[in-house]
Amino acid sequence: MEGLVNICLWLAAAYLLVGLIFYLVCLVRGMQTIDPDTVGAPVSFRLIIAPGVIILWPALVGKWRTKKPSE
Amino acid sequence: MGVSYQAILWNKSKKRYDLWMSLFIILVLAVFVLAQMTLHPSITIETLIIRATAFTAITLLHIILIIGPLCRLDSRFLPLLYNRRHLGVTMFLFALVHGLFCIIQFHTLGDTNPIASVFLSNQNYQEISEFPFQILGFLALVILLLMAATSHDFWLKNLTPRIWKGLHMAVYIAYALVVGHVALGTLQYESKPLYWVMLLGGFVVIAGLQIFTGLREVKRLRSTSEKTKDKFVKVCNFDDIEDSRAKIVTIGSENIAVFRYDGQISAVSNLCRHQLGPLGEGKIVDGCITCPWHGYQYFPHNGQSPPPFNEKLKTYEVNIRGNDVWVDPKPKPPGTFIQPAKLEGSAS
Ligand code: HEM
Ligand code: FES
Repeated sequence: MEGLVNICLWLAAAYLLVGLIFYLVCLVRGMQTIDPDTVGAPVSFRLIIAPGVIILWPALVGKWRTKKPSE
Repeated sequence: MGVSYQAILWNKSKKRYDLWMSLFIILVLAVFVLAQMTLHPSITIETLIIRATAFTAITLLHIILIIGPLCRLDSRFLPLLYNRRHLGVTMFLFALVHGLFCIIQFHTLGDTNPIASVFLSNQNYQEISEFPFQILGFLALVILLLMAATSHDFWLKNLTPRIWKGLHMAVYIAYALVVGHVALGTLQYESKPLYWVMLLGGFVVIAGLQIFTGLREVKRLRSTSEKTKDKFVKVCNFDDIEDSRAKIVTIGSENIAVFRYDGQISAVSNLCRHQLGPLGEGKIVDGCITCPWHGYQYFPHNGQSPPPFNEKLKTYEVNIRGNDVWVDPKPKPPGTFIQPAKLEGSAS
């Protein structure tokens, strides 16, 4: 039981770390390919979507990839 | 909505909403803290924080769950719905403080990771009176976190409204987990029946309202009986619709809002492009259909949002014969202009 819980926690931590890196990368570039409406949005908007991006990054990664070639 | 995002869209009525919400929360907190200090004069500040934030969170959760059905019963409750997401995020923040304080208070003393400790410190799954109720609270908190984190319109658009709505229906799972958390936790050693009365009372109110409005909805869908003439379907009498208001009709699979304004009739899809709010429960404000949920607007004659927005609704052909309103249930592509139907004899 203890081993299982620890493995799950490590996996969750790794997953969220990837999310954090993805979020930071998005801040620099990529946000506008995911959603053009983010262009010109204030810093507070970027902060308010941070938790969601870190948790739900797989939902956005797909959009980023599929939109890239048409850039 | 086609213009760049803001962090939080505040307008005058949302500010007023948040002001009332804050006052209400302060009142709840004050009553609860006073009651606890009278009942348990030696209570520590940590325990007080844990309990007061928990109580506020569960109170807000109940309110959130009954707003929907209340609005269906009586449109005077609609202002409560208008900014429900601020209520949701606030509820999450209270639950978060409660959870964090519990983890700090009960799980940081050993050498296990505090979060692992929530799952490991008690494994008496067979014992009702010692069930690891904190795990239920933790899972509820995860759901609430997901909902709070995705409450911005950015997520509505990028997760698609369907997925987003599904995700937010998980609030019922969170509610069930919280009820389990409290029933198997505090209520196992709290001997006062008042706690049970509140928890059960809350459940009866929520379930009762949901079932009652659900049944009414079914009845309404059945009773929208229509007599067909060519492709048009007779929906009601012109006078059945109040001015600047709508009648909602369901014909086949089409959910249509038939609006009356300035002596004429237009019909558009009843589903708001924002979060599928019921447009037919809204009003015409400044010449635009205004969604009762968050105020998105559309012109009745073509279903389009006024510039700079670019939302479009499906529209329907309408017709007035004698005093009867007829609608063609075959939708036109979103944003199609339809000549509004005028009451014969009314000035044009
Ligand atoms: C990490 C997540 C959570 C943990 C570790 C946790 C832990 C606890 C603990 C230890 C208690 C007993 C406190 C006491 O009576 O002194 C408690 C009570 C309670 N919890 Fe949670 N909880 C969590 C999440 C939640 C959530 C999400 C809610 C719902 C909004 C919630 C609502 C409550 C309520 C209403 C009580 C009863 C408060 C009272 O005693 O007056 N909890 N929780
Ligand atoms: S559902 Fe949000 S404005 Fe209509």
